[in-house]
Amino acid sequence: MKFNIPSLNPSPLHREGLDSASLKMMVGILVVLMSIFLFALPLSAQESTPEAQPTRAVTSDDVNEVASGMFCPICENEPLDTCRANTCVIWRGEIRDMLEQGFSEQQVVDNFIGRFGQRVVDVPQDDGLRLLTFIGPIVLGLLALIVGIITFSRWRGGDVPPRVTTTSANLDAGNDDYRSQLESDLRE
Amino acid sequence: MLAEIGITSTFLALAATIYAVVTATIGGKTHSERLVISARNAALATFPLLLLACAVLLIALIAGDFQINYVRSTTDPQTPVFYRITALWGSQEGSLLFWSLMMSLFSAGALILNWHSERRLMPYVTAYLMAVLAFFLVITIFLENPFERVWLIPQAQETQVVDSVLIPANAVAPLEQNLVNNAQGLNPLLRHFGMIIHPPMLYLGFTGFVIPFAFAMAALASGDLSSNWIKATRRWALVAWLFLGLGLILGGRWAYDVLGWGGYWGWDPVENAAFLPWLIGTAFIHSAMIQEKRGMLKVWNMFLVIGTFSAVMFGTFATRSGLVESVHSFARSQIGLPMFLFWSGITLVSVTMILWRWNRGELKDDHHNSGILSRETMFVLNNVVFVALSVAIFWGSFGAPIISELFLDETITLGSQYFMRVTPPLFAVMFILMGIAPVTAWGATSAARLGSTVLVPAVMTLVFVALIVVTGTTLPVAVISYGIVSFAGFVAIYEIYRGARARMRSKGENPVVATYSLFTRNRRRYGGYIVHLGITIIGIGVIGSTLFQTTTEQTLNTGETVAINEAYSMRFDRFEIQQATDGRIIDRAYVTVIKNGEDVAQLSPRIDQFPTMPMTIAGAHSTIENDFYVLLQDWDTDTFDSATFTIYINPLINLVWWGGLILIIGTFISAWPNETVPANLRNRSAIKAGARPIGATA
Amino acid sequence: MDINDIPEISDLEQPPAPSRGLSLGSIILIFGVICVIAVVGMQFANQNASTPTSGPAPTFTVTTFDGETFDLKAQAGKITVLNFWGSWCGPCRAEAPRIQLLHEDYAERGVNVLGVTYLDDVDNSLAFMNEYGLTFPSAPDPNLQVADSYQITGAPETFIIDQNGDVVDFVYGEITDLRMTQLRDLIDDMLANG
Repeated sequence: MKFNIPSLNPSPLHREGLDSASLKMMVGILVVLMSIFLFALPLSAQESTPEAQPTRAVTSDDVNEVASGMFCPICENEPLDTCRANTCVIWRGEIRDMLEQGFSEQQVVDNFIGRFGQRVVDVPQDDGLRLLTFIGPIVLGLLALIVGIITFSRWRGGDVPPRVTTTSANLDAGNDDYRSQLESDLRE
Repeated sequence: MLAEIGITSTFLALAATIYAVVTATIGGKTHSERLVISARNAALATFPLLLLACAVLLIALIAGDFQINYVRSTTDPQTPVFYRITALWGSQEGSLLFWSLMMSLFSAGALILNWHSERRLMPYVTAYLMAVLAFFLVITIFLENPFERVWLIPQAQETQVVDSVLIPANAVAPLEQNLVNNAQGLNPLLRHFGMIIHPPMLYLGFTGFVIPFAFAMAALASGDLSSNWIKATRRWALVAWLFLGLGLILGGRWAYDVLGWGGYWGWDPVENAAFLPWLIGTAFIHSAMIQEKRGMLKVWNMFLVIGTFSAVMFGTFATRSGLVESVHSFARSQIGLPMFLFWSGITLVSVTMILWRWNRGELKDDHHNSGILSRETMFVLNNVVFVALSVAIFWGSFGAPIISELFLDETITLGSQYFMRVTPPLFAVMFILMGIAPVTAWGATSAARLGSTVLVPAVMTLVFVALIVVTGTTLPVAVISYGIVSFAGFVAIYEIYRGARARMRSKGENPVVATYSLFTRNRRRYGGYIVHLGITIIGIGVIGSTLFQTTTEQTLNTGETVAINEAYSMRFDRFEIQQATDGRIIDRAYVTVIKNGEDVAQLSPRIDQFPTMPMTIAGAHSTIENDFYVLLQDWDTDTFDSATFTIYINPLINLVWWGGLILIIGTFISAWPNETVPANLRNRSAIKAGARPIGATA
Repeated sequence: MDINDIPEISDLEQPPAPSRGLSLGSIILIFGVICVIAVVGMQFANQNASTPTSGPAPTFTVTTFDGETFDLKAQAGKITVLNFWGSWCGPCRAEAPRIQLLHEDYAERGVNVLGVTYLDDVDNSLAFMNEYGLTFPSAPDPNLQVADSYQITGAPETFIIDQNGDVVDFVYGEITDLRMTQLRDLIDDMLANG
């Protein structure tokens, strides 16, 4: 039952070369992907710097631009720019007034937060809450990554020398050539 | 009379479920064939009973039996028959009964189709299925009974009005006319084809996941921890996954057409609550393959199945209890507490059971991964990504807002800005894996071999990206996203091509026959490629409509034209007010879409003023390239010669719907039963069923 | 979430003897699940806490537009009519004169009428008070603390708080003429008995 058939067992040297190359590749992929994931957040979180602007003609699009990142507490989960409730119409009017008075987008948002709290924006502006908001997925993401890495190492660690059973032998044999693998799949 | 039939049959169904739970458990423990068969028959009987109850409610809705509170609250004498039918699931009570019916349908299906192949698990499967169904019937009957009626009890001073399921003593029925006057009609937002099919699809998806859950729990309870339960439930999981996906897509379509905000996905907590089981379910149908082929990830699969069902129950609880506020919220009701207890109960019990079996060493993997670069590795990464997505979405919709409100005393709501920052990187990883995993071999593969397999799709992707850049899309985020997403699609297409070519070479078949036999010989793999292709097309549609959506709000006078972008402009032609036969007032603007100087479409965005609420209906001109989508916002109420519109140009949005269609086709191919084995099973069970008719042994 | 905390089962040859009890990792995992359930449960209980229509009124302290401090706790022995309003809301406009009349008729008999604005801009609130000649004190509600403690979901909403600090009546929406008559009767009774 448990013979290690030589022809089915790749030579140690071959295996070694294979794995260090692929290991590097895997680690590379993981590092790149996770750095995308981790760095995309803080970077994009720093948009829209406040700067004073002179009094200007304000279009509805300018108002909606600001409103799209806000919620009105009357109709939760409906962004302020598309909400049709009376309160939303009034709030949009207020945004327009403030923009016309030369408030920057950030100042408008800050004004609303000052009056009604963090619930009016769709991502909290308060540093502590912001940290809570974004640290959650990052910590959990890292945790998932660690789980993944431990799983790999455990899989690999527990498998020297590899115990080749009939099914995996078939599959391993099939790996030598794509065509034969395909054919073996087709035979299933 | 109608109500009595409904009440009786739901009550009998509840009795049958309880009987089935008890006898199946005892029968399973004592190995009593007679008890187990009896439990099965009781479980099968719930379906006709609930079908009768639903039929009765349907008849009451169509006939207009307004003494029944549910009928009065969802229809009125003017409601067209079509909407009377859909009112069956239009509100809380009816939808719970309908949900129970779906669950009993799935249970019956699993009990009939898998009875002989998974004989050892079946007593436990029956018990778990019926326990879940019993819970839903209890809340339907005792808390949200759709057959509740209004009664008058004449007393000395004044007449008392009572809502009651059973007829109170001395009660008389109210006058028909009074009942009719109080009828409310269906929420106008629900009068849309998407809303008509969307809830049943979602319910089919949600309830379908009860089958894998019951099998997993049965495996844990019985100690038969081989991969039998995975083999038995893979198709059920796929079917549930299909319906859930379909429900999500239809829900998106409904939002796009009816809610009037130019988009299809708002990251609303209720949408997310339905998306979570889909994500975890997707992880499961992938990692189930590893367990089936390699006997690995046994514990993990248990967690995924239970996680999927737990997410279904959590979503149902969160949506219907007012845990979070949402456009979708059912009225807050009494079922919140029982739903919460049920959700937390099943989650805790099942997690404990997995850990108990695991700590006894009974859930060991048969194999270990031999190479880092292998299909197993890719699938584990895929699982990590899907779980990370679920966690990030759960965190955004529920975790962070709940923690902030409870412990920091600050109410926050996370909107698209959160989700559009957190999820895209994860989706990008998902698409990369979707491209690489299918061409990675089981066991191990080398980087060089992997490189050569993806060479052609990679070149195709580069050509595609170059074409995109040449045709004027230079936004780096867009180019990279299109590249990542299309790579997965090209891999799927190229793999199908390679398979067909291999058959053409080895069997000498012509391309059509080769492709056909490729699909029939390995439905699962090639159906899976079609699903991947569908997801790719949805992905391209999402990228296009998210990154390149143009929106502007404009106020126009009659006859005035405004330029929207280089190609499009729009003219406001006239304004009309109409009254529809059902009493609603329709404020309608007529506009002309002009593309490159030519009139291409007449649209009439409108607002229907129902007595209860206004409903904004967009005018949309749909082409392959984009949707020109106009909403009427406001107008001059004196002269009607000026109106305000919000105009959206949503590029590639139709790919989302078409991708959905391809996804459905692919899932059908994957889940379609293989000719040989199930045919045998079907014959066998037909013979057995004939020999032992239901009821004979009960 | 971490399924790998459990000591690895390294021996493939011999099935290990079934161990009794759970490993540390499993216990941590179960504890985590319980924590999630508990937090969701707390939120559920919190959300379900309905508008206080009877029993002790949540206490609060606000600073009115006139700059005076109103502390509900300090009002023991007096009846308080707490009205949530906003200048943007139609029904509030309809009921404002009635509430003003109530204030005029009962102020001397020791009945407090207090307005708390809901989701309103200070300037708009002041303009509204000016427009309707409101002389009863009103206070802004920064961060909606009062509104949250009374579980306000819209405006107007009105609470009648008795001499012992208990909510005795609640009006959801506009106080119509009919409803106002009832409230006046109720307040008369309370004054007579208390």
